[in-house]
Amino acid sequence: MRRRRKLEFLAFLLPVGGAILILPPLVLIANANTSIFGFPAIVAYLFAVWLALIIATYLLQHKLGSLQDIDTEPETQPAPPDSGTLK
Amino acid sequence: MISGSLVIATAVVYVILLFALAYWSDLMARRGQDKLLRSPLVFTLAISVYCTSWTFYGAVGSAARNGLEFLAIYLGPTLVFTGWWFGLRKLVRIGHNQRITSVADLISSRFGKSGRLAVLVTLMAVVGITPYIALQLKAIATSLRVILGSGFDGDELAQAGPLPQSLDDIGLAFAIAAAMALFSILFGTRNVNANEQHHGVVAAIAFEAIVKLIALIAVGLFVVFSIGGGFEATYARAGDAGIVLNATDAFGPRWLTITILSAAAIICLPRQFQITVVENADERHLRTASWAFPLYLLGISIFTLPIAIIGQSVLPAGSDPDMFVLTLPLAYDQQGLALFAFIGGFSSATSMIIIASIALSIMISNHIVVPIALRSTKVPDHESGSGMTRLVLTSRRISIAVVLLLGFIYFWLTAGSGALAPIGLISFAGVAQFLPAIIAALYWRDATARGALAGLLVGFAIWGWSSFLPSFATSSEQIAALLQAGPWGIGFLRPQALLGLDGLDPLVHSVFWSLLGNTIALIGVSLLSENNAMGRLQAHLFVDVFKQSTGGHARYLDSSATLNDLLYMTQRVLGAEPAKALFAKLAPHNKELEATPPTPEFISKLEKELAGSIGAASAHVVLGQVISGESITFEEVLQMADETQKILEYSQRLEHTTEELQSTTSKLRAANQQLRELDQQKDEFLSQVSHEVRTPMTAIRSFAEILLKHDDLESGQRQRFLNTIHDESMRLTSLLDEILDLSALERGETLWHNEPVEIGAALRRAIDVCTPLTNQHNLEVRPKNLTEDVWVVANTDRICQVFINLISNAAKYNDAAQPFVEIDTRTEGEELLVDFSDNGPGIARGDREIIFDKFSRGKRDPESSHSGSGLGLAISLEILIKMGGSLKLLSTGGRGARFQVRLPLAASRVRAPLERA
Repeated sequence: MRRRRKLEFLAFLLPVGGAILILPPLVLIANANTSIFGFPAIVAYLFAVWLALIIATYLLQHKLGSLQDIDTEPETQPAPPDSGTLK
Repeated sequence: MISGSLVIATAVVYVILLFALAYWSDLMARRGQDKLLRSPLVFTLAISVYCTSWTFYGAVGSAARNGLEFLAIYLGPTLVFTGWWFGLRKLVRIGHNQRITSVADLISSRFGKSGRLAVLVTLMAVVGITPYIALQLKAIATSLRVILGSGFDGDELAQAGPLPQSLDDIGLAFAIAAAMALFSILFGTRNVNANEQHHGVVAAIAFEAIVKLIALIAVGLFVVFSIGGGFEATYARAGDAGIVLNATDAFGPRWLTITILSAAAIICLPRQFQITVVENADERHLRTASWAFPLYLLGISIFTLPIAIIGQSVLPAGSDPDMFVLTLPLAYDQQGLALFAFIGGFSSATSMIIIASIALSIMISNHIVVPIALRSTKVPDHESGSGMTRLVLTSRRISIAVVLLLGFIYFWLTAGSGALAPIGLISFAGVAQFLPAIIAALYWRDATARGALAGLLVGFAIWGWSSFLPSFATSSEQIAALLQAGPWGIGFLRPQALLGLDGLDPLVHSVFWSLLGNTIALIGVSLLSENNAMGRLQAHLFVDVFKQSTGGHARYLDSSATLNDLLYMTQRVLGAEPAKALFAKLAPHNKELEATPPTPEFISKLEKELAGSIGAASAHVVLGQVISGESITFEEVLQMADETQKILEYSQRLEHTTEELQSTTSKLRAANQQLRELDQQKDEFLSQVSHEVRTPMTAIRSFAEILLKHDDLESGQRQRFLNTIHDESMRLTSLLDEILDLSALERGETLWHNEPVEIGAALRRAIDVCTPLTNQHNLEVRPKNLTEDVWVVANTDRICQVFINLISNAAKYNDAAQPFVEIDTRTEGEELLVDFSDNGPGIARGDREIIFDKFSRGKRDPESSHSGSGLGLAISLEILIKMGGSLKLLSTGGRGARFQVRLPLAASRVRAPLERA
C-alpha cells in the first residue's frame, strides 16, 4: 500500500512538475540570450525538460505497470464499502 | 521540375497502398492474427494522428512568425501523457466498461444517458472541427499547387494575384474534399462493428504516422546539415532570419493558453478520443504511449525551428513559411525529397481527415440520426433484419460527406485566409469547451446533466462569438465592422473585447472568457440541480470506476421479452450474422431462444454491446422499447450501485447490532441486579439464622459454665439448669431441623407423594398431637363442621404438620383469658377451605405483609419470645404451595387471627360427600 501511494504520488508529481518547469515564471530564467552546445539556451532548456519528462515517465510506467496488472485482473466479488483501512 | 502526372500517380499509389494495408489488417484481425495490430506500438503511432498538416507544414510557419510558440502545442499533450495514470487511464477504463463510442457518448452517458447532451456535443464537435478540416484542405491544396508549380519560382508566385490563385485553390480544395470524402467512406464505413473499432484504419494511420515522421526528419536533416551546416550554424542565423527566440513576451499568457488548449485538445478532439479511448484494445497500451507519444512529438518538432530559420534566411522575402518544408527541397532541386515531403504532408492531412470524419460520422449517426429513426413511427425494417444496419451505414456515409463539405465551405468563406496554425487554434478552443464537462464527468459526482448542458452552451456561445465568428472577418465586411464596433454599436459585446476587456491577444481573450463562463455555468447549475436516478447511477460508475468490479451491473429487472425478441432487435441494429455471433458469445448455453427470458445481466451486457455501435442513449432507448419492464425504480438504482446506500446499509447493520448489544446489556444488568438481591437475601437469612442459633447457644453455654464452675450446687438447681440446657438444645435441634426442612422445600429436594387424604382424620390427628400443648396453654380447640369423608389431594404427614403448626401458633400466642381456636371446614368449588380462627392478640397491621417470611414472628410479648423459630408459617406456606393449595391470613376486623388453608379436592371423591350432605 505504501509503495503504491509513493508511486502514485510520483505519477502525480510528473505532470505538475513538468507544468511548473515549462510555464512562467521558471521558464523565464532560461529565456536568456546565451547558448548551450550551440543551441540557444531556451531551446536547449525546453527540449531538455521535455526529454527528462519522457525518461521519467518511461521509468515510472514500468513500476506503475505492475500495479496496473493487478488492477486489470477481473475481480470476482464486488468490493465492499471502504471500511477505512486505507487511512 | 516534377511532372504533375508523377505527383498524382504517387499520391494515388500511396492511397492504394493504404487501402491494401487496411484491407490486409482487417483480414488479419478477422482471423485473429492481430497481435501486431493490437500492439502498444501501433496504438502509440495511431495517437500521432494528433500531428496533422498543421504540424507538418504549419508549425514551421508558426515558428517563423512567433518563434518558440509552436512548442506549446506539443508540450500540453506531453504533460497529459506523463499524467496518464490519473487522467487517460480513467478515461480508457470508463470507455471500456461503458462501451463509449465518442466524446459525445461519454458526456451523454455520464449525465444520465441524456440524448440532448449527445446532440449538443455532436453539433459542437462538427462546428468546432470544421476549421480544422478546412486547414487540412488548405494544406493539401497549397502543397499540391506548390509542387505542381514550376519548381520554385518566386516571381511567378508574386505575379499571380490572389484572386485567380484562390479560385484555383477553391476548385482544388473541392476536388480534394470530394476525394477525401470518398476515401474516408471507403475506409471507415464498410460495416458496423459491435465495438466500433476499425483495425484496418488504425493500421493505416499508424503507417502514415511513420511516413510523416520520416519525411519531416529527412527534410530536417537535409535542411540543417546540407543547407544550414549543422545546428549551431543554423541557430546562429536566427537573428538574420528575423526569428526572435528571446522575445520578452514569448512566455506570457499566450504560451500558457496554448499549453492549456493543446492539453485539452489531446483529450477532447473527437479523433484523439476515437483513437485513444474507442480504438484502444488494451488499457495497458497506455503505458507505452505515455512515454512513446511524447517522444514522437519531440522527434517531429526537433527540426521545426531550424527549417523555419533556414527558410526565412535562404528563401526570398514573401515566401509562405507554411510551405518551407516543401519549398526548401524544391529550391535546392531535391525533387525526390520534395515528393517524399509532399507524401508526408499528404499523410498527415489524410490521416486527420479520415479519423476526424469517421469519429464525427459515428457521433452524427449515433446521436442524431438513430434516435430520430427510433422515435419515428416507421423504422426501416426489411425481411433481412438489417434495416438499422443499413440506416446506420448510410447516415455515416452522408455524415462524412457533410463534414467535409462543411470544411470546404469554411475554407471557401474564409477564402483560405491566414496561416495554418491560427485556424487550428480556433478548433482547439472550440473542442476545449468539452474539457470542463469531461473533468466533471470523471471526478465530480454531483455534476448534473443540466450543469453540463449549461456549461457547454455558454462555452460554445462565447467561443462562437469571440473566436469562430471573427475568423470570417477577412472575407466579410459586416463581420469586420462588428469586430470594430460591436453589435448595434454596443462596445461591451465586441467579440474580441468582451465586457471591455481590451488589449488581450484574441485567442487568450476568447479562451479565457469561454472556459470561465463554461466552468461557472457547469458548477453553478450543477449545484442548483439534482441528478435523476440514472444520472446518479452513471455518476457512480464513472467517478468510482476503479472501485468497481469489472462485471456489469444489472440494470433491467423483470422483463416480459424473451431472448428471441432481443435477438430480433439486435439483428435490426447489427445485422443478422454479427447479432447471432454476439448472442452465441453472451449466452452460449441458451438454445431455446423462444422460451428463455433474459437475465438482467444479459440485458445489461447487451446494452453495452449495442452502445458500442449506436451509442449509450440510443441503445438504452432501443432496449427500453423491447423490454416492457423498462429500467428500474429509484430505490433499486440506489440499492444496486449507490455507494452511499451501501454505507447506509452498513451503518444500519451496525445500529441494529448496537441495539442488540444494548438489550443484552440491560438483560445482563437485570440478571445482575437479581443476583445481587438474592445474595443480599442469603446474607440476611444467614445473619437471621446466626441470630436465632446464638440465643439458645448462649443459654446453653452459660448454664454449662455455671455447672462446671460450681460443684456445690444443690441438686434441684442443677436439675433445673440441666433441664434448661436440654430444652434449649432441643429447641436448637428443632430450629436446625426446620431450617433444613425449609431449605429442602425451597430447593424442591423433598419429594413426596400426594394422595387422597381424608381431611377430618388429618385434623383430628393434628388436634390429638397438640393436646399436651393446648392443655398447657388452656386453649380450647373447637372443631366445627368437621365433615366426614371429604378427601383432598395431599400428603398426610405434611398436611398434619401444617395443621399442628397453626394450632400450636394459636396456643403459644393467645393471651386471652379463655383462649380458643375454632377450626371450620367447608368446600368451595373444587377446593376445601379450612379456617383457623382464634381470639388471641391478632397480627399487627404492619406485620401482615411479612408474616409468612422466614424468622418473622410478628409482634409478641417478651415472655413467649423463645417459643418459636419463626419458620413455621414459612414452611407451612411452602408445603401448601407444593400441594397446589394456599395459606392466607384473613382480616378479622377486631381481635384474633384467622388463617385460611385452601386445598384441592380429590377429583373422584368430590361429589359423594356433598350429595350425602
